[in-house]
Formats: sequence, structure tokens, C-alpha cells
Amino acid sequence: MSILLASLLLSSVGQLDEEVRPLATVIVGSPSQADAPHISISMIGAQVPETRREWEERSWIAERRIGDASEVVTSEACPALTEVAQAFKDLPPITPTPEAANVRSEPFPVNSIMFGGWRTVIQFQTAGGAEVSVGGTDAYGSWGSRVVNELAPCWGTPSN
Amino acid sequence: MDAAAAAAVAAFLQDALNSGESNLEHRERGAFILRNPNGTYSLGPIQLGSVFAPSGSGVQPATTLDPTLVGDMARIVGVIHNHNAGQHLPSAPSDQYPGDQAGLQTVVNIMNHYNQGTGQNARMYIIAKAADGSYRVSVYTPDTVKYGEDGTPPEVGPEVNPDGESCPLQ
Repeated sequence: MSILLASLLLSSVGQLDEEVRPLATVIVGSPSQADAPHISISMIGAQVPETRREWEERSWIAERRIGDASEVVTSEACPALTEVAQAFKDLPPITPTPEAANVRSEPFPVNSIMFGGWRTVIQFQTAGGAEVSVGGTDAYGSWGSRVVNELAPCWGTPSN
Repeated sequence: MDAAAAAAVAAFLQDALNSGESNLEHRERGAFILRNPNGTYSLGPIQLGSVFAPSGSGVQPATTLDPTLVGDMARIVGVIHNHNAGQHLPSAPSDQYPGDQAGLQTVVNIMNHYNQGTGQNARMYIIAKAADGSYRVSVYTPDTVKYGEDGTPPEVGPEVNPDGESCPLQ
């Protein structure tokens, strides 16, 4: 989500004149699915917070898109949004591994098991500016499932 | 292994009580089942999942089990978790849910990695309260846990003997 688009979204919730910065997008199900729900979370304010305190003082905005329908909530109206945004900050760093490197990867690479929960793909930008997309059932997958669950009461209609 | 699964009900209940919960209908929990060096079986660390939300709330409970937490992953031979009352079947897979068969497949992969060909012996146990108020433990194999391609659910797995005990050591 671009800053411009996010700013336009803000106008729909009465917070004009504030820039936002994308944090992450959670895609529920398969990204190739035309109507896969997308939940995009952004921080209000264009600068990346550099300290834990600055993070904790930020306000957040989330947009859920399902097909052509879109809905926006802020962390003021949905405190759970602050919780999941804070949790994203604490996820473990990701080391990019080329597919070919898995041929002789050691130790045995194994994902966590997730019973229930949502199958999600998380998209975000790294500190180096790379766009990454993460699936599976690791900490990121669990975070994606948590986003879907904890924001569910904030939307106007059930998410499934 | 069935005896360890049957004993897990008491362990899950004790863990629930320790968390201030009165039964297993509040929160999902899960654990790996481990084969000990002497041939007996035991339960790995119980890992907490999310609470069961009301039906129609749009909330899908989730429990994440990290196999690296058990230490020696070569000991993993099964996995057990609880469902809400009456839900004895594995969760169905879909575009939006991994489903329980994906969880058992992870156990199969782990077992095959350490001992090629043993993955078919992996078992998944599901604890759920039955209509008579008792806890039923149903067991599934990698074949019986699967839903049909058209979404047809599998048969409810056989019930584990709740009074089962480990076989005497040879």
C-alpha cells in the first residue's frame, strides 16, 4: 500500500493531513485467489520509530479488502490493532535462503505445526527495502493468524 | 503410544486448572508425543493455543507447536491436541485453513527424516468432550486423517482406551 493510498484511506476515518507508513499486509488463504481477504496494517506517521517507546506511542490503521469491498479501522477504535502491531515488532528476523541452498540445508528444516488457525501470507518491506512475502506456520504465520482473529471483532461484518 | 495419549487428558486438564480454567472447552492445547529410549512414550511440553470463540464470530482458534522445543526431534512419533466439545473430527483443510492433516504430515516428515519409512506410523490424537460428558480421545493415521478431495470428512477415529497403560518392558 502506498503512502498516498493510505492517506486517502485516512480521509475516510477523519484523519486527514497525516501520512502513514505500511507495516505489513496479511493475505488470508492463497494470494492467487481473487477474493482472498487482504488486511493491510500501517502506522500513522511517515517516520519509522527508532525506539521501543516511539513504537508504543504510535497509532495504527488497518484496512481489510475482500474483493471490491474495503473497510478501515484505527487503533483508537480497535485496541487489538495496537497489540498485533506491537507483536510484529518482536517477530524473529528472517534470513533469506535461496531455494537452491535448501538442497544441502542442515539442520533439518522443519516448520512448526499449527492446529486450526488461518493459512496466511505476510508481505512487508525489509529494513533494506526488499519486498518479502512469507507463508508457512512459523512465527510469521502465527502472527498472521493472530491478526485475522484479533481484528475480527473490529470489522463491521464477520471475516468469514 | 495410546496410553500416553490417554494420560494426556489428565495432563491437559491439570494444565487448564493451573491456568485458572475449569475444563478443556475454553482453550486449545497441543503437545508432541515422544518415544523414550527405553521404548515407553511420554508427552512433550504442553503448548497453549488460543481460546475457543463463539461459533460465527469469525475467529478460528490456533495452536502452534514448535517441534524444536522437544529437544531431540528424533523422538517425535505423534501429536495430540484438544478440540471444543463434540468436535472429534480433524479440522478440514481449505485455502484458508491448513487443517489437521497438515499438522500430522509435519510429524510424518520429521519421522521419515530420522528413520526413513517410519512416518506412516505417526499418529494424531484429538481430545474432545463427548455427549456423555467424558473426554474421548480419537486416534488418526496419516491415511485416516485426510478429507476427500470433494471435502468429504473422514470417519471419526477409533477411541483410545481411556484406561490404557504402557506395555510392560521386555
